[in-house]
Amino acid sequence: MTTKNITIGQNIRRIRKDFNLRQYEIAGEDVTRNLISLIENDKTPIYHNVANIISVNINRILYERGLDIYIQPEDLLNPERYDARKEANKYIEKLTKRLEEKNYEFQIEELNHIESFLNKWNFIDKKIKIYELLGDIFYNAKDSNREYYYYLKALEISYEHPFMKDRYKIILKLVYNCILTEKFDEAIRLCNFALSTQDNIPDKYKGVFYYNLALGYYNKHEYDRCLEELTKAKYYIEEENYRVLNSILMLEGICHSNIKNFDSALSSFTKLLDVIKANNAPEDICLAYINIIQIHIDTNNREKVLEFKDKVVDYIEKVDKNSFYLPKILNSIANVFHYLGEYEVAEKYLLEALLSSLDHKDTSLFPEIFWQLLKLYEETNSFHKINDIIADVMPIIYNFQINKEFAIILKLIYIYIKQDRPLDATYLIEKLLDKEV
Amino acid sequence: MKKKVLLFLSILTLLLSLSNTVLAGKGVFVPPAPIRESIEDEF
Repeated sequence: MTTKNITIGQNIRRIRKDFNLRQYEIAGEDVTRNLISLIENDKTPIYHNVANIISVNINRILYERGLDIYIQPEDLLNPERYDARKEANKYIEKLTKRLEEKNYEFQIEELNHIESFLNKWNFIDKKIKIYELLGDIFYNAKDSNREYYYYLKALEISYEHPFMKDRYKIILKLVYNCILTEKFDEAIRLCNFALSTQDNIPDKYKGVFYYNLALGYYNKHEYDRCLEELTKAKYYIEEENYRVLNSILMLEGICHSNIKNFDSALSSFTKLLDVIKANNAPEDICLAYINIIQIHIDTNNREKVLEFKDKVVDYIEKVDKNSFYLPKILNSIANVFHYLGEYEVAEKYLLEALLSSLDHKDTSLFPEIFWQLLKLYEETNSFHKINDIIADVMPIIYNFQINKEFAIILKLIYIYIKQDRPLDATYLIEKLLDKEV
Repeated sequence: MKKKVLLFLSILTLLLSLSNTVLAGKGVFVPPAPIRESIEDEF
């Protein structure tokens, strides 16, 4: 049946049959089955309020059947619109295929085309799905700005869908993005929002939300709050849930160490090693050891640092080159050699860490590692070595965000250079750096 | 010329000072990553 020769009544019958519904089901309690029959046979006109009642009934049944489909009253009243829903399905298929084929390149026209299609028809369920898929694609393409943009759009539109299932999954993806892009307050807000408003979150996901919440507080250096949230996370996470439990214990250990509670820190890591060894995961063992060494650096226990150092170096070889953690592990091991006074080895690891941070999802890595490298060059009086890597790092430095206050500082330094007053410039920089560090 | 190089590096250092930093001699921890997966079986 094509749109051109279809009436509203026929359209309603078509939708009903597409979802295998009976007339009495879509009539519900507010209209009669007889009225539905008259409407479908075009013997009586349908008004918007009746279309609204029918769509509510359809959506309730589809929700009970576990289908994430949302039929709007306009879909009933406009046959052309219902056909366009099938077009939307084609977009969804195409985007899903892109994800499967790892084809993440988009022309701006293609994105504009999708946006204008969605804006023309405003299919709420399809919009949510398509924006979430676009978020997934940009997540895989490591384009965190666009990833955030599309997940946020999906989340916003989801509030127009009263039967929306699994909204918490979109929120979780946004939380992940916010933590990696250092929007910690927003990550915390989103976690709290999900935990307090979404009543269909399964326990294992609740545990994950509490864990991410703890990670948000950790990054804000609010270690007590972090530990509180980790306690809640543990309540929801079963012992067999290795991956989450591993992350919880690791964060707990680091947190204790940050508040100088070293015994508790080592106790968390001992529990962690028990969990990890049972699962024999080299990367996780490497991470645990490397964090344990950092505790010994904090307590200035050189013997223990030396004892664990060789173990970690062996395990680093076993870490996957594409591992999320690799730049951080290399940065951390560089710190070990720095502590031991082996500056050349520290530099080697920092340079490796810097290179592997260039194309990483975690945007905070590059500045952190580059900072460590500059500190090392400053300490060893070897700033000239920066020339070897400057070409690789300048494109990233050019993209650093500069706010008004920072622009003023740069402007002052610029003026001092122009006036050939290097001492004033140096004094200003030292003064500001002292304040920061 | 030397002065200019020194200034350039000082500016770089200043830029980086805005990031979260850790002094040498202190532990540089590797915190676990956030968790995002929506595939239920992953958990």
